[in-house]
Amino acid sequence: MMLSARLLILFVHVTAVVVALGGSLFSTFAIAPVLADELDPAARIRVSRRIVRRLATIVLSAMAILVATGMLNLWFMGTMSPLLGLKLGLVAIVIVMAVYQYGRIGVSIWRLSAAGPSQAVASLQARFRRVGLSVGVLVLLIIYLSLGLTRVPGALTVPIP
Amino acid sequence: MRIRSAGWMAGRLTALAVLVGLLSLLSYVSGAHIALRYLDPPLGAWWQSNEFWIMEGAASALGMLIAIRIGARLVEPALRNRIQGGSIIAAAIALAWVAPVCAALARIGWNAGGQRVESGIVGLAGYGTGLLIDKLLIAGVYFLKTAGFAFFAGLVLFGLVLAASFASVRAGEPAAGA
Repeated sequence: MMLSARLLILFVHVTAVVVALGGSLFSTFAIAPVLADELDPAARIRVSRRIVRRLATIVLSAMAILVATGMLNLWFMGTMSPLLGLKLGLVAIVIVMAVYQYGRIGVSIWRLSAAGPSQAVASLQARFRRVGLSVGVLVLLIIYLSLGLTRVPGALTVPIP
Repeated sequence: MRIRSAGWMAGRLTALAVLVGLLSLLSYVSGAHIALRYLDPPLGAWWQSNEFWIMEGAASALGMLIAIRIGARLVEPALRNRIQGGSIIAAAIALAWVAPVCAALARIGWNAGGQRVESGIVGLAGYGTGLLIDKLLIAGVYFLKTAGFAFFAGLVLFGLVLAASFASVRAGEPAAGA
């Protein structure tokens, strides 16, 4: 059936992944290099701090939706496996890293950049990108594990010993 | 009692969740409600019918509080108190929905190895003690799994409060929500 609660929750779940991962990748690989080439340091920092603020709202909200729909998915599946346990562990690490990325580094960038460009802001931005890339790699690994859970026969039926 | 900070509050609430969780868990496992029924029949009856969901609620609260406290250590110190306080309020409101979902998820996929584990424990400790230990093991794992799923819910709530803090700040302000 094309319209069911299960399918709707899966759709929202996948959409949240696309938004969270796509937003981070777009910011890192498209926006940041263009800003560095096209804008002077003062204007770049003004634009960057607004991007960090908006991206934080979008990515953190998408991750919240991701976890909520993931829990509902698990409820619908009604079965658990070591692979799913590994995926859940990675999800917890990703959320913790995202909270650190935006709650610590992002806020520090926001606070320090109010006074204009500086070496401290530049190094924080570099760390922000590194943590963001690590989160992106982990999310890709989680997606791969999810494919294994849904596409490999028996992956969800192996009971925890 | 004066509330000093959100961190102080979170610490006290965590201790309370552990205490209530352990009391209800041990009461459920040992059948302590029977003793309570002898002392005060109405209270004993009430406790017997509620101890299990109190255990689930305590496990859920514990998981969410641990997540909120970990999240608070990760954010900028200037934001910590505000985000942690907001997350605790959000968790208190969400507990009524989070607890049954996490408890239902905790039932998935674990039967403590079924009869094999029970037989092993009974073989080692004797029939009466073995059954008690087996029940404690099952209830303990259930408690931890409920808290584990609630941990995710706590992280989500913390992330949402942090996101709301970012969304509410104006571009000209010096720090997000601080």
